[in-house]
Amino acid sequence: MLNLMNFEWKKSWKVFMLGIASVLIVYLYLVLQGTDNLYRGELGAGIAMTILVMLITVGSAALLFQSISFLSVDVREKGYLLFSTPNSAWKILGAKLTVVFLRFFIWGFMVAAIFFHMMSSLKVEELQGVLLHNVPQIIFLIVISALASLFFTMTIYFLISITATVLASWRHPVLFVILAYFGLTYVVDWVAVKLGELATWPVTFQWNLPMINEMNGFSITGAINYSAQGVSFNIVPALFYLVIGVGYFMAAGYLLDRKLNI
Amino acid sequence: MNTRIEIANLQKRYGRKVVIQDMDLILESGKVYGLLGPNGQGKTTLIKCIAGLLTPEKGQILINGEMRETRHKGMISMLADKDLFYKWMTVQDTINFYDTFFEDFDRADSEELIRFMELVPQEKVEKLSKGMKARLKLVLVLSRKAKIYLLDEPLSGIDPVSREKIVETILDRIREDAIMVISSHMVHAIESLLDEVILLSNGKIIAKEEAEVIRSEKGISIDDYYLEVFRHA
Repeated sequence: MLNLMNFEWKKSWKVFMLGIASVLIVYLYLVLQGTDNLYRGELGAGIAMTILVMLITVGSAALLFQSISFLSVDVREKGYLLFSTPNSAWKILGAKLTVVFLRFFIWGFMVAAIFFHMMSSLKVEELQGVLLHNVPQIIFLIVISALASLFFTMTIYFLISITATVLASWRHPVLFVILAYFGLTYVVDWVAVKLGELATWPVTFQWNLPMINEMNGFSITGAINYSAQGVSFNIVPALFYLVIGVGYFMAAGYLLDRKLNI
Repeated sequence: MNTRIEIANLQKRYGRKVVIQDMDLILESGKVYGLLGPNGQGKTTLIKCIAGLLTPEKGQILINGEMRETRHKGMISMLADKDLFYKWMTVQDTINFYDTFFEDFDRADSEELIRFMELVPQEKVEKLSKGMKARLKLVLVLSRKAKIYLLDEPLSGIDPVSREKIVETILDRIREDAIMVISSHMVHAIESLLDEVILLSNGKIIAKEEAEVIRSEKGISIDDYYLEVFRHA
């Protein structure tokens, strides 16, 4: 498994590290030039948020690209090399997912570090307080985001495994993956929300500062709720996502091991 | 331990096109089999089915009496007719890859073969010519002490000098405890290597004969035998 992870890491580590280094160098340059003064006031907050949104967008695009590359590289002719080794498809998928998780984690920490710096540059004492007193909560959010990215990747891998095996003769595999992704995600999220309504087992990570009291709560897929009180994590739909994710993993591994045509 | 591959009632389709039709075949260790036939007759498909890269619709492939599974890939050393390396790989990276993933890979042997084939370890694989890529693939495949070798068109598009080196290397690496299957439509180039000849046409075995029988009893070369069979096919 470690061998496979090492191989997965090597496949595109240069691009990944180049991305990290570029962002850090550009940011450091801006800071050294005194650009952090821009973050002051309302305009500063806008600029900070724009940079943050850009970083998250780039990270998401990279995640999407990496997931789709499973179709263009691994289950096509280039997959000869990997699938001719005596490793089961589960091991191959496991290694790929672990590397995705690690990369997302590294990227997440970099974004969080930049976010910390921006917020402290805003010179708003309450915001600095929010950040400094909520480090465990922020780490928790990064872990949850990394797990969500893992679930997204696994869903894409599962759909790609279908196109490479039982639907190998279909002419538009990417179109299938995109349409099936939205359909499947809609159904899974709907069930998760319903389960969350039926059975509630929340774990709440309280924010350690009461200043954001006007913030409205909002929900993503019924598993996590952000609110003025903190991050509420409902275990019931989360368990459902876990079961579905494991199901995708098992089914994808089975299909690739038994039905693959490359 | 001897190795045996039993193929029974095998069928493989690409869409509606049947590429392998109800094929029965037994391959045993100590022999070099020539899988011969013009392009598009099912040679590559059969090799990929044995290697586990294609899933047949019907029939079974048994290796030493067991259904072929992922773990059997550790016994199979396959040379693909396609370019299978990643862009970022150097010659040394490919060696490391094989050394990491195949227990039977002999690193010392690979280093010797790299020198013999005049390959440069630091060179990027994508910069290699077709002939040098073919040499590299052969180095990787033959540096393994595998029980089953599947060489798909090892000489296709290769210049005569490289071809000679490749045939010489294959000849040196033939073992009594291993099965070697070489697919090619360049019969004359691999003729000297073969113990048995299997001729494929439209996904069916149309002839299977010992090379020695063809040469001594029929009194013709395998190349002539091939032409004769396909003229009447």
